[in-house]
Amino acid sequence: MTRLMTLIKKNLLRFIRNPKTLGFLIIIPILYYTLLGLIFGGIDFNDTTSTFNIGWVDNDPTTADYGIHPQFHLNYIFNTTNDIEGINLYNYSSKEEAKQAALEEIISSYLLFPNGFESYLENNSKINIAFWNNDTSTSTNYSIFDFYSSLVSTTYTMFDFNYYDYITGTSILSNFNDYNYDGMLIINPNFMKGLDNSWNINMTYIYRNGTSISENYYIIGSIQTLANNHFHTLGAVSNVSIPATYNYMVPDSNPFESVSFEVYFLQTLSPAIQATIENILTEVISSIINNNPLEIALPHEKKSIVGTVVNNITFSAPGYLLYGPMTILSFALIILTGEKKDGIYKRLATTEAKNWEIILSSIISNIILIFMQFGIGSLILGIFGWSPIIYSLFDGILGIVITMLLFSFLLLALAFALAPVFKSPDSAGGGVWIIIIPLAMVSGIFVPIELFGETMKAIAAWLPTRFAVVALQNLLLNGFPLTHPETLLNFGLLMLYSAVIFLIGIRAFNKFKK
Amino acid sequence: MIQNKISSNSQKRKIAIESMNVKKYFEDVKAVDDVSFKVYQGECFGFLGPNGAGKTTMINILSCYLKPKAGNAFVMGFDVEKEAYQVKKHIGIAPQENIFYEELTVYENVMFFGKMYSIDKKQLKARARDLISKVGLEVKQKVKAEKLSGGMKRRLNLIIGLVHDPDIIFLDEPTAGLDPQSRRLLWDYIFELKSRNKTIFLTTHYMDEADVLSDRLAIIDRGKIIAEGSPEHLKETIGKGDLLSIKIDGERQKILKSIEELKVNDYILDAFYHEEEMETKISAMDGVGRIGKIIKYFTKNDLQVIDVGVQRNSLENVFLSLTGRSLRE
Repeated sequence: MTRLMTLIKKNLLRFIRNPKTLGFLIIIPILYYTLLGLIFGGIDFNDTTSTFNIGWVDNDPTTADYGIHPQFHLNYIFNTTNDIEGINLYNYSSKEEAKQAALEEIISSYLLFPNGFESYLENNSKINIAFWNNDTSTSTNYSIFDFYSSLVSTTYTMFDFNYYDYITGTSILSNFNDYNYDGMLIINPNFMKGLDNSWNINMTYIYRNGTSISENYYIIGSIQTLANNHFHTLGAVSNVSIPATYNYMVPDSNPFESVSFEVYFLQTLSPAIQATIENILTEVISSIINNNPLEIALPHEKKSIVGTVVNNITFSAPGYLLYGPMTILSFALIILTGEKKDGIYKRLATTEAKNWEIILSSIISNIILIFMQFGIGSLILGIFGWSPIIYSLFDGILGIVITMLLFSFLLLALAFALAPVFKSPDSAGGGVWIIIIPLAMVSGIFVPIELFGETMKAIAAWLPTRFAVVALQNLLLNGFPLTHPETLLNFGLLMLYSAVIFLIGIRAFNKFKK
Repeated sequence: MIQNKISSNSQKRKIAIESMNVKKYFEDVKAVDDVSFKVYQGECFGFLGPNGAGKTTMINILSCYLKPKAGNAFVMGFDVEKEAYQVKKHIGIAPQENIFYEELTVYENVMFFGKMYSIDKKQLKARARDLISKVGLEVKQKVKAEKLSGGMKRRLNLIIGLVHDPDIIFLDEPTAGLDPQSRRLLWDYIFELKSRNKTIFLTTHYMDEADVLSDRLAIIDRGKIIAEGSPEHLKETIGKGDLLSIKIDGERQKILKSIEELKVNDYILDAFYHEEEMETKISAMDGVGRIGKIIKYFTKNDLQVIDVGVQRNSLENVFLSLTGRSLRE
């Protein structure tokens, strides 16, 4: 045991004493992770996936008038959206059913349309205005009812007027929040008399809190035009107007409550793809429902199917965190080939040190370094917003320890197997990157595998390093417990690969040592 | 191969190393080919040969690093193949190349290799300091090995092999590439080891080193031992012999007659009269030991010997005579 400890201590002392090694072990990972944090902490990837399988849950019992507004019908929206290339929609009767389909990876996301969605669209497709005739004066030439009729029958289909006399109008105004009006057009007292005398022909337009200035301008402008067209045709000389002083917000009025649909995503879906799906769907649905000048807002909420919504760093961290440790493969190879070249193994072989002690000390020293790399990575990614989603602290920590131990074992098995291939530290130092870079790329260490094409995904599924990435994703992204079958399966496969490579590697290495 | 009889005195001594028909081939190259020898406890055994003769391979076999293809080897009675762990307890090696950790200090290196043996920590510390001081590295003990001079590195390389106080020490070309001063310092230390009854197995291609340090030596060439014995014995029996240059006062005819009479002896390899130098040149095995006898051949013919010059036989000549090649070739 003392001898093993001495060998480990010696290995670590050599790392610390060599400035190049120290730089390699500390400065490079710090730089790497800082750059990753800076680059991916705020910028999304470009999407490369072309087909999205999306669930559709219609929980809305309300129905828009199909004859007038077919585009507000969720069935119509479903069919039109489903016709778009690259989008495959699947209908589900409930949120639970859709969630199950997502967990089974039939779909990657689903849309949930709540109660009142179609009514919301229909209501928001018109401007509902209360017409309050607050004028008790009369005209010999003009009729207020004719004017109201002309407004109702206008070709501006987005307006919907409801008439109230001077008594009921007061009640509507005082209980404005109880009605579904965007605003109220008030025929001011002496309006009719004014028409006859060509003076004081003003109206008032009051609007609901939350109505935009541009919408108000549009409404006021339209009403003024309609009124003047009507009265001028009948011989009126003066213009009817809604002066600025007669345009204000209904006191204490509340804005309309919007009805949002919800977009649920699997956490394993990269934020970039989530954003892509979200943008495509909102754009498509908006373009279906909006066929009038006043755009209906399409509020929606983005949610995660399991747990919370993840950012780019959190999504990609399980892969990134394995890159630092993976570089130890190069380091281990340089040491193994270097010690052989320098005759260290030969000298140690003549001492009482046993072969297993020498190999185990090398494994333990490198495992310490691998954990150090993981620590540096975690710390820096944490600064840039990495927020692991774990089942429990115990599962998270123990899961990381097990994954890193197995990953270390795999890397060192590879180092032992590759040492006889490269022979010298110079060729090992450079040559090993021919293996590290593609292995890291295809395993999804650099770039999330979700952005790969199907062929590359299939290749990645067979790589041992991929099992480590998936195990960490399950533990740190999906919030799976340590005992989750998928995590255990990845541990098992990683262990199996490592054991096979280790047996081959150690055999080749023992031969190489001599 | 010329095999000299081991003295009866040697036969009574305990055997430290024994090689019995050991063979080691690397593909088609016969690095060690049927090599047998014995090294006795307390002696310095020189293993002499040119580069690539098989010296280091033999050390690697005896130190349990390589397994022989055939034959048996024993160190302190333990089989190097079957009882390697026991063998390693008794041996220390100073390899041909400097093998230690450049990033560690002198003291750390000595302590590290010491800890590779089961030695008490207190004892090890004391021993490390003692060894460092004995080879003059005291002031450098906290200096990283990479900062040492070539001579200092050789000394460190040596003491690392001695830190566990082994009974048998393998010194593989210990002074190769050293300046005369460092070489002398190492020789002194090897003499001290000998005085402490340590068995030393020394490989070298320096004739003078083998001559000075070895009690007995074996000459190996192309994997085979071609001669074995004490340096003196080998020089007396193999090679051109000692060269004697004798100036004689007297008639030329009498000198020539004496030379002819002298040539009858087996130990005379060559004898002739050099007209220009007016000297008689004689090559004779153990010529120095037989000077009196040789001179008598001239004096009995009424000749007077004025001057006798002696050039002793060397191990270089022994090797040249055995192989037809120089050791450095």
